[in-house]
Amino acid sequence: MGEKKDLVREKLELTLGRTLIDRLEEGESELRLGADEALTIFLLPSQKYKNKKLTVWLEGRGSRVEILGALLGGGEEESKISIRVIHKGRETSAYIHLRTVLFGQSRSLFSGLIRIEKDAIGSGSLLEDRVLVLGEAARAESVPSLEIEANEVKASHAATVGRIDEEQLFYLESRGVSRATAVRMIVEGFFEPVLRRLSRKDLVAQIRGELWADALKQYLPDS
Amino acid sequence: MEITKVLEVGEIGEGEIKKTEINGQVVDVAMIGGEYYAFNDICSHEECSLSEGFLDGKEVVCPCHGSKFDVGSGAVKSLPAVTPIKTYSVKVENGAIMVCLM
Amino acid sequence: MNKERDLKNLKSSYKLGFSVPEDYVFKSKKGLDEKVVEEISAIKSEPLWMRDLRLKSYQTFRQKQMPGWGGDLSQINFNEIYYYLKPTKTEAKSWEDLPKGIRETYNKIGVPAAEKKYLAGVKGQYESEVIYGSLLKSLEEKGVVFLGMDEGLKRYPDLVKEYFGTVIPPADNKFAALNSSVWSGGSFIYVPKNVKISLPLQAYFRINAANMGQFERTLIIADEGSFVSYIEGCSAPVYSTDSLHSAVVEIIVKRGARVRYTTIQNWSTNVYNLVTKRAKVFGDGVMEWVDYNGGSRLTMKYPSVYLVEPGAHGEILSLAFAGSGQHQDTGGKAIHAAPNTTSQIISKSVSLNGGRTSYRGLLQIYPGAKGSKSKVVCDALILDPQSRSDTYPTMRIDESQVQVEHEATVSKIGEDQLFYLMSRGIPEAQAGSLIVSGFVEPIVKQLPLEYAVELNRLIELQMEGSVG
Repeated sequence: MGEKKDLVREKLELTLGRTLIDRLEEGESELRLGADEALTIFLLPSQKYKNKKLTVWLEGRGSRVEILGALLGGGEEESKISIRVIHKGRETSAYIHLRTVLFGQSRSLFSGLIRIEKDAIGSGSLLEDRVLVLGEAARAESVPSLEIEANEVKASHAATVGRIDEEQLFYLESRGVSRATAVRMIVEGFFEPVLRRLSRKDLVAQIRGELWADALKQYLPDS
Repeated sequence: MEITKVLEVGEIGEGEIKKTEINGQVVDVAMIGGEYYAFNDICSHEECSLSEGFLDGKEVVCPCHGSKFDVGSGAVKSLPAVTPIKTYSVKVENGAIMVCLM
Repeated sequence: MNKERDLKNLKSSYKLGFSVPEDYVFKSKKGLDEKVVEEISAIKSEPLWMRDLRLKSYQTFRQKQMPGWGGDLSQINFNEIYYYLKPTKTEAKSWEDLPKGIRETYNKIGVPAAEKKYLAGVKGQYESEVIYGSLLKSLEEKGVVFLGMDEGLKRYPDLVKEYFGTVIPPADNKFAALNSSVWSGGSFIYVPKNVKISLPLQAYFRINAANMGQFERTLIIADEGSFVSYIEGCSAPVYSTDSLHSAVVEIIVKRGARVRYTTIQNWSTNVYNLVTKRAKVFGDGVMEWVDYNGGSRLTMKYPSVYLVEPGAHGEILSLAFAGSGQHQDTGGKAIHAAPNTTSQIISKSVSLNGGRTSYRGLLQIYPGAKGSKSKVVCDALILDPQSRSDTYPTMRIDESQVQVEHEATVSKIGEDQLFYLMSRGIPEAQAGSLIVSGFVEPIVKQLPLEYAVELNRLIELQMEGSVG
């Protein structure tokens, strides 16, 4: 499955401040955060993502991680993403918010584990996984798990899977927007909540460029 | 209609299931009450091989979780499977068992 | 309220529906082999097909693996278990033989004297009651069948044969195979078309040791348009020397019918409770599982609804309490195999004193099940630092035109809520108990009134730490 990489050493120097853009490539990555360290990881699709495992250890007291994802799947692609966040230190927090749009016959398998260990008192963790299915034969499997061993904590997760709201589409089309453009607009709107969380506006522009330019064009050629 | 010979009469006995392959598709042949039946080998529940199961009357039982299908129609006779399996018509000609993969 | 209690304390003198259990003088023999299975079938004088089913299931049990997930099953020793009906309720036992904790709990919950003795195994039979007789008579007149499973097989062999093992086949899992080979007792219910039974049928109407049997097998068939509600268990802790309980419940809800199955599980903490419960729901049918798990050392149980025709609806309401030394691994499964089917799973769990609750669920939507909707909500309270809670939900969505929502939260009692109640002069322990009661209320209010009352008292006791 590829050697584990210590993301902190390898990539932090390359990132802009404390935000890491991770192009989902195959392999396992591990990240350990020390006291009061905070990091935002933004997951973007690579051309053919297959199997990605990301583990974040919140070891130091007060460490925080934010994992945001704007992911796409198309054609017959299959992606397997496994994210684990393990709270070890006190008052650690995690916010995981992934949004995936599936076209064609793509399949996405997501497994997310939030584990809060005994000593991680005062910690909090939230996981949101939302999938928008546009392809008729697309399939989504999602297993968001929680393992909580401390009680002075708060952990929750939410997951939804659904299709584009036909009414929304109809409304846009009635305003003279082509179907393909309307779909693109809705998809952009779908990704907004994760893009909005990025405080680095220059990064947002860069990511939008990546998303729209490379990926969306591939799946929505007419837009 | 594409007919393929899969077995010789005599290669399969009463109450048996034999796994065969036609153009990359795995097809099981069963002999029940002197008649031959053919159906898709993959159970519609968790994709186990039905050839590893057994026959109970006119039904094939999947070994993994006990799902049952009628070998003639492919209809589900017992949960946990919920979708039927595909069945194929069988002809016997000159001692050869032929299956039509429509 | 009293009438309901008296209804429960009834005897098998009612001739039409029940048979008086004969003295169980079977030899107790530990362990399981083919001979044991054959003997069980022979003693019950079963038709050949059932005997063959048992033997084949035994083979399947031998071949199947233990589940590689869930609770810790490593301590189960299949060779140390009695698979026979043992001489039980007809034996005289004294009230004092019961563990002190159990006696005290019975007293605190307010279980009436006659019921106490029955539960304790002291008294093997209930007092007869005219009211009870007329209730069952009216059911019989409508064509309702409500018998023990053994009796059901004897009197309606064709009906049983048509459905037995079609919802949960023996090969489904290792414990379904075990149950299929050694099952004894349980309920057999058939409700004819459009008959609606307003009073819940309760398991201990059946005068049988099998009420608390190890390997109960229940089969409920609700014909089109009918309605039946069934309750098993009781909130008072049930003391059992049997360490393995493995029941199977199969339910068929035909078109437009509705079935509600309520379980109050409170086995003593030496018991492994491994149950397979599943309902097959046809067009516009409704299945409701209400599942309370507060006892046992380990419970693994996931009531399921298979929605196989359009318009079918399934609900699973699960409430779990895990105290010291307990692990409740519970949840539910909703399988959507037809268009416009809907499901809802609500799970609430509380862990305290080192207990562990795990929600385990599956939501599966097959291709073609367009217009399906499902909502899963699991909330867990962890009351102290020694306890643990997990959530393992799986969603497999293979159809694009659907709406699926899932939410889970794990937390402790809110400081604000606690502070508010305490500022009103309510001592902390009581305040905590009140909050927990509020937390579980959405599910408890689905129980028949007296169960709700008993359950609330039980929760209070558990919170006070006075239940052993």
